[in-house]
Amino acid sequence: MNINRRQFIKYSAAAFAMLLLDKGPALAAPDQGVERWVKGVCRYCGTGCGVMVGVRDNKVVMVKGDPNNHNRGMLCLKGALLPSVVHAPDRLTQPLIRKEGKLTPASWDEALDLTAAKFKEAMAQFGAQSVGFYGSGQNLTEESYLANKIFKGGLKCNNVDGNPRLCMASAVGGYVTTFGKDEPFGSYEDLDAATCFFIIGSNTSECHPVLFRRIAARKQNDKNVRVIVVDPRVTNTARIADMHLAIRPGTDLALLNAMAHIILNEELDEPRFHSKYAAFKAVEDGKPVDKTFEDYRAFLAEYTPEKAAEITGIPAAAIVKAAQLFASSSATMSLWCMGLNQRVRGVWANNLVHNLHLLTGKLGRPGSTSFSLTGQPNACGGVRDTGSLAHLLPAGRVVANKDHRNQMEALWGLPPDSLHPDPGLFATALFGALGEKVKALLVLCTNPAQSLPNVKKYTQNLRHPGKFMAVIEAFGDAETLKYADVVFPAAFWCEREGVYGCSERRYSLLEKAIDPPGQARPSVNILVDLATRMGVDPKFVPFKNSAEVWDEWRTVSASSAYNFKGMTRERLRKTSGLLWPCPTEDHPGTKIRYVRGEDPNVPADHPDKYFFYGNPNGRATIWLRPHKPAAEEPDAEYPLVMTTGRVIDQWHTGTMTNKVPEIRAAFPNAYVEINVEDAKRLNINNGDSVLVETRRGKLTLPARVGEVCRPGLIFTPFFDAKKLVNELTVDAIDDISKQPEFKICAARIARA
Amino acid sequence: MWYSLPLRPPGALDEPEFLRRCIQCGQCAQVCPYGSVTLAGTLNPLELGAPRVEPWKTPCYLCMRCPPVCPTGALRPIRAVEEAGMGLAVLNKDLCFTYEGSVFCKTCHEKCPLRNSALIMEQGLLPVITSRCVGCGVCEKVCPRKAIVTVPRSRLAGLGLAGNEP
Amino acid sequence: MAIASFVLQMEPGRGAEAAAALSRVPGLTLEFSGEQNLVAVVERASAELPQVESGLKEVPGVLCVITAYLNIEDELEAAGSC
Repeated sequence: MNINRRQFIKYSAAAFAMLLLDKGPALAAPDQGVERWVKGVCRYCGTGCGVMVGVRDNKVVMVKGDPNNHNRGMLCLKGALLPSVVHAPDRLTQPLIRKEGKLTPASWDEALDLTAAKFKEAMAQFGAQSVGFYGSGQNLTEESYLANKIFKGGLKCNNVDGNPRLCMASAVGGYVTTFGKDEPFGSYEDLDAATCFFIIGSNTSECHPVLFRRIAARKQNDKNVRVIVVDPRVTNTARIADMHLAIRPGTDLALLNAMAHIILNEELDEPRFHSKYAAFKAVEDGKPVDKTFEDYRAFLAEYTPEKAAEITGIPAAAIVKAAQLFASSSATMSLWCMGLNQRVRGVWANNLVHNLHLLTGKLGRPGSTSFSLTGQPNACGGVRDTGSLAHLLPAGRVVANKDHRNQMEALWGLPPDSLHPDPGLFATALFGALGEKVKALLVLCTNPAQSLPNVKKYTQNLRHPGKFMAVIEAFGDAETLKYADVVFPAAFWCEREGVYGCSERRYSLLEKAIDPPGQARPSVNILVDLATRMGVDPKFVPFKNSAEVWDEWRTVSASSAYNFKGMTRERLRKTSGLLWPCPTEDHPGTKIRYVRGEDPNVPADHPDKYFFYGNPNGRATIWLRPHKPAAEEPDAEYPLVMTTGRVIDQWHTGTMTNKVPEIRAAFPNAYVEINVEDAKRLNINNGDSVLVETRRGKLTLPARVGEVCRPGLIFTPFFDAKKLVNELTVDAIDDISKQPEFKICAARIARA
Repeated sequence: MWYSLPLRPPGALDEPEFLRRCIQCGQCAQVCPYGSVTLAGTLNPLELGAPRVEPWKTPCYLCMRCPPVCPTGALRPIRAVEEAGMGLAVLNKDLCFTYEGSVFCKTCHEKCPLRNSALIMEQGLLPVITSRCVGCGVCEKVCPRKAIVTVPRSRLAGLGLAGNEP
Repeated sequence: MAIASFVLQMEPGRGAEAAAALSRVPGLTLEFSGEQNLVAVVERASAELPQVESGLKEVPGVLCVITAYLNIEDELEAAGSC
């Protein structure tokens, strides 16, 4: 059609009106008759948007954005459609026990007693390390803190891990090894001040839509803003980029070292910053050793743009340009997510991003920060901060450190040296030991039977006759329930009260809006009940509700750099979230850490502006980390790289989003995205059934042929329970963070 | 009346000629893997059994299997998705979540078979349907607000912009 | 400038009368006249549109006015891709 835009719009206007004549006018959603609005946080991603839950007759009828939270009233589609999830027909409403292979209704007492008996039996026979807990970044902070306290403090069992091991353990490792403390330096407000965005391994557009909108709006309003996106796919995020670097998967370390090389080579670094605030280190023979700036320069010498171009597949000139933009902008903000974290060198990749910021001094000023995006709503606040991972203790302490254990023993009122001194089993090890070393497991609010890598290997453990698994879950169709021996129905989202902590260290309170359905109970009460039946001293878990757990956790935090003692329940009720540290009730919260005058952990009279109090030398660390490829590189037999990820509107394993009719209609099935060139070579057309094979399994998926994947790469989303894409992924792990490399494995495809 | 004409499968000739050539053999419907092409009958004897696509039920996913099987050329034997020429999707900004400004929704963009050509996210922020749209109806189907309708090409041709004569 | 389309529902038999009145509204073209419905497309400055809409309701024979479509071209300045 050869028409101009004005004519086109007139056509559209007339045509639309005409269509209304035969269908009847489609009207905007009518007012749902909301009786009251209850403040909360969105149930989905780590953006942690504030929401207002509209309630009528004990039903959630509407969800809208909270204008006072960081999202300023904006939500993405998933969040706005939450009501159909809350009232989904297959909500669990009573406890279930597996009898003769079938989950059958039971009373609370039966289910709790059976679970407690199985745990006690295992511990009596095989010791405390024969049980375990697998939690989630979607639990309330109170639930994670409590489960951690029950298992590590009450049962003396350190097998407490959770799905954040699959999504952000490497980011924790990165922050801790570089800055000495976990969690980001800055906040979302940096998005409004940055003039250069360096987005690597994050499809922000799909996975954090509200933050992406903020970046896109920033770019729209200020023509000087530059966006660099490093991603092997031309994602929708890449479409707003000034520079898209279509990197060969698994070569990010070479790219980041080459950028550092260029920054030094072109004198774009900030020696006043790094000579005063950074220390150089490398790992030699398994031990960290001190290095000098000259050592670092020599280490980088081999990462020339030309060599990096050869490794990464990105033109050398583009790498140079990206490094120049990064270093010469007035404020650079790096953002990353699973693309860096889900790697066998995830911690290293995180370190190398921090390196660029330390070298150029782009830290601690508005818009200058290195910011890790989180996938789950409470992985930061709930799991990282409460230390609910196998190697951690609350508030940044580690199991392996005797002083840390003694501190927790004192805080929890336990005898000295009573906590178990060895770290427990991390996610894949925990499931790998299920039925063998680990006899009884409690799973809270997550779906490992779909989300673990190389999942077939672990479903063998889940089927093990010698294992007992109890699951606290809200939905009856979660894949994991197929293997559960006992299921407890949980109060979901706004059916109970508690705190969520999002990517930017912001803790917000979700207030209770409605009652849970049937016999479903808040998980805090289930945990307390279970613990006492397992023989934990009731005085050790004297909690009637989550508010009492919060008060204890708040007090425990006061002795650490997390200190949020000032965040009383009352205060959280009044505000739409606060950023820790927040030591006193009149403290406004902290936007920028490690900076004098901003972070209350830095003494007001500290001689230097920056103080990295988490490291003994007071400096952040620039690590010398060489390039290492992925665990499974493509070869003649499996010539393609397969990567997995998310699509907009579907979230993680789809147990919630698939309850929403609008989303189910739009995104019913998984697919495999293939580059046009590869498709042509293999005679695959759009929509054809394609057999995707890796060394671990095969799946038939419809093809989506296009220019999104770079040649040699295929992409599949993992939300579809009918097509368990994780049967294909590899379970190689980062040896520091123990996070699996979901993002890269070798694959081959053919027309089915 | 031109305005009651339905959406035809990809490659359909202009309406009077399409109906003249179509022998209502149903092969296009048979080859459609999605059940998008139906032979829903109407009371109009000329149109009875002629294939149509009702995007609010099942849109066309542009697999382009049907044009080549048409024995009479009522559907031109085209292969390229861009030539499907079924119609044009129209987005009502009054109803769209994203234009309304409180919910950032991009479902239509994500699902458009001609993503970034027929339907673009302008500046990454707002969905805009361009004149490259071929009218497959996928966006109409997936829109959570029902803010999109697909206008069949035959109706577009009937829209005399200047005159009042329908 | 903004472009809007309106569906006007008519009292039966008064379509011609209304169409005549509408033809005098500046910037308005009548795209379709049926027995009970009219479709009008208006191109005017966006600020004037509310006034146009309330004016349409006053036209003799019009029972109700439904805004079907609205495009305000200054939403995003760059729109050259079509």
